[in-house]
Order: sequence, then C-alpha cells, then structure tokens
Amino acid sequence: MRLTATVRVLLGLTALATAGAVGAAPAAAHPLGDPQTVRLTADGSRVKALWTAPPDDLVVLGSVTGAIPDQREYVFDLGADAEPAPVGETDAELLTGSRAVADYLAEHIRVGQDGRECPAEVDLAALVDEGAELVFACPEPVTAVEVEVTMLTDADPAYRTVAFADGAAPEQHLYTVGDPVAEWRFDATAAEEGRDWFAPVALAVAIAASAAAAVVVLRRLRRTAAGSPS
Amino acid sequence: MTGIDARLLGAFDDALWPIAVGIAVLVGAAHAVRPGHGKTLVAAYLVAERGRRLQAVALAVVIAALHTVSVLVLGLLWWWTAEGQAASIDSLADWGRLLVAVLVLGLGAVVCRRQWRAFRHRRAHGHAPHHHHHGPPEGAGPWSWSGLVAVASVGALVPSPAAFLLLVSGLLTGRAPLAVAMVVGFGLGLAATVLAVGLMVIAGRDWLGRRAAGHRALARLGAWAPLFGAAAIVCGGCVLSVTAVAALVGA
Repeated sequence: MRLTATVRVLLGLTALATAGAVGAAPAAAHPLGDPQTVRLTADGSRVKALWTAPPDDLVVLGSVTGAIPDQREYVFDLGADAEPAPVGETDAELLTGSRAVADYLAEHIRVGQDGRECPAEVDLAALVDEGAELVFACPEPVTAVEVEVTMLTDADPAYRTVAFADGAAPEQHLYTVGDPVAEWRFDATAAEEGRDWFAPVALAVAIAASAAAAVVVLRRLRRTAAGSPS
Repeated sequence: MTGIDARLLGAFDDALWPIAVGIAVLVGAAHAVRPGHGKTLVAAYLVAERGRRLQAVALAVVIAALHTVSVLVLGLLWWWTAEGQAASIDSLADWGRLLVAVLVLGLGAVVCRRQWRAFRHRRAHGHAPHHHHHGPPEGAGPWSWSGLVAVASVGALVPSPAAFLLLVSGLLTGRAPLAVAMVVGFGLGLAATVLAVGLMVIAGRDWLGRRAAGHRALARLGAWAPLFGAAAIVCGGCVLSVTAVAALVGA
C-alpha cells in the first residue's frame, strides 16, 4: 500500500515535470533581441553602411534570398571515437558565401547623391558576428545623401530597420515599409541638431513616478491587511 | 517576427490610435495563448497556494504592470545605448531569464516547504477536512506580493520582442505616447489571458473540492494537489534554469 502511494507520487511528479518542460521550453524559441540596425558613416566621397540583425532575422534573410534552403537534410559524420559532427556548410557559411545575399543587400540598402545612385560593394565576411558592410562610392564628396532601406520588408511588411549616423542629421531614423527613404546630412551644421530627448526623459520620469506610487500603494495595502483581523 | 506580433507593428504604423490600442490588447491576449508565458506556473502556483480569485486578479495586474515596465525600461536602455557599437539587449535578456529562473526556484522551495508542513499537519490530525480555527483554509499561502511577482516574472520580466520593437519605433518616430499606450494595452491583453487561465484553474479546483466530499479517492487527490503544484513550480524553475544557463554558456 505504501509502495503504491510512492509510485503514484513519482508518476505524478514525472507527469508534472513533463508538463512543465512542455510549457516552459518554447518560451526560449521566440527570443528578445536587438532589432535590425544600419550604421552610416561618411568619409570623403564614400558612405559606409554596417547592417546588423539578430540571428532569427538572418535566417529570414537566408530564406528570402534562397541562400538557406527551406527544407534541409542534416548528414552527421560518426567517427569511431568522435562525437557525431554535421557534414557540410553551416548556415553562417551558406549566408556569407552567397552571391544572392550580397545582391539582396545591395538592392535593399541604397545610397543616392543628387539623384545619382552610388554603386555598392558588399562585404559579407563578418555578417554573422559584426554585420554586413556596404561601401558606396559616390561621385562627389558626401555632404547630403539619400539612403533607402527596405531590408526584409518583402518577407513581412512589419520589418523595420533602425538607422544611426554619428554626427549627422538626423542622428537616427526608423525605416519602415511606409517610410523607406531618408535624407542624411553629414556636413558641419548637422552635428548641432542632436537627438530629441524629450519623450525618453519624460518616459523615464513617468516610470520612476509610477514605481514610487506602486511602492506606496503596496505598503498601504500591506498595512491594511496586517491591521484587519484574519 | 511573424504572424500576430507583426500585426502589432502594422497597427502602430497605420491604424488610428483607438483601433491601434484595441489591436494591441487583442495581440497581447493572443500572444499569451501560445506556449510559454508562465501559464503552467500560474496554474501550479494557484493550486499549490490554494489561491483565491482575488489572488488571480492580483497576479494578472502584476503581470500587466511588470510587462509594461520591463518593455519601457529595456526600450529606454536600448535607445540610450544603441548609438554605441557594443549595445545589445541579447545578453540582458539572457540574464533576465536567469533571474526569472532563480526567482521561480526560490518560490518553489518556499511553497514546497509550506505545503509539505501543511500536508504533514493534516495527516497528523486525520484525513477528514476540518476547521479547528478560523481564517483561510489550511496551507493557503499568505498574501505574498513577492510570490506574485515571482510567478508574474515568468511571463513578463523578459518582454515580447514585438512590444519592445514597438516602443523603439515610438521613440524613433516621435510617437512615443501611442507606443506606450499600445505597450500598456499589450500587457493588459497578456494579463487577461493569464487571468482566464487562473480563474479556470480555480473553478476546476473548487469543483473537484465539492465533488470530493463524498469521494475518497478524489479527496485524497485534493489533499495531494497543493504538493503537486509546489513540485511543479520547482520543476518549472529547474527547466527555466537549464534553458537560461544553456543560453548564457552558449552565448
């Protein structure tokens, strides 16, 4: 009798552990990460753009360009005394070695000067770790350029890219499917404009104020609860 | 970014603000229906602590508040630091997951201990349910805000990527008020789903309790249920710890 009870408890615990694992594990499957970014810098007549994206967006990039096949086979090499190791190129190698990925980047990040397009050179070597580097050679020294970014919006129109340019005007811009083009000025007057701090500072103050209010309310609730007979 | 989460950003870009906030509430509710987000642990906690409806409501409020605050704090942190090359919330999110795991393990340990004692106490005084003192039922957890926060942290401390991106979009396009309103709406939707789960769990447990009065096996199951719930919290904490540590080591 005692044994069966123990067995029942063990069975119950196993079932609960399984339920817990099933319930909790997929939470890791949709990760919180940095959004896509483009960092712009100008040097003489060249504009450099560094595009970075979180790993799941890189997979989307591989999918829309065809660099990473949608259906895949994994072949593992089983050595006599070694760990099984997958054979063939990794996803990172497929992406960085793909002509289609380079063409896609050059097509979806474009720089123009006075209506003339600046041709891009794409370097994918550090795509996964540091980002893809695009160097645009413009005809004239760069003071103002038009930059168009439509990265991955063909996969889903909700994709957006945050662009930064240190010392330029604007200093940052959000590229969306409805707002894919922005003009950036890299001249001396640009650095004076800076960022709009009002909303973030107001938000930070509001968070601090509500946190303080919550603490006060909780204390009062606790005191009321402690004071009332249970 | 896929499916319903993408609709959140689409609504921010295109919809009128009342519609956008409404969509955010719906997306939040639908988002929480998917696996994860601590629904299992909420259920386990309410069973283990013999939680009442008010506790489920408080839990939902804490989840909505915690999700909103963590989106706002992470969004602002990212906005402040993103200009520098090294900025990354990936590692922050990993550490956040570890913090959640530790909170849940700690909560599991506390609840387990309390329920084990209550169980032993009931055993020592016979099987029949009896009330030899007034107040909440035996083994019922005292009203514990830290316990509620620990459970709420599972679904809310590491926020939804779409809500985070929404706030960043708001900060960058000068439409921060709409973004904040939508983030609050998203948190409320999330909390509504969790509240629905919590109320269902409580209703199911009470139904079982009523049936158990004339049923020996059910009564025994009812006596064991809080212990199972407590064990489930510990198991959940273990799973969360393993995934969090794996993410930190793998990074």
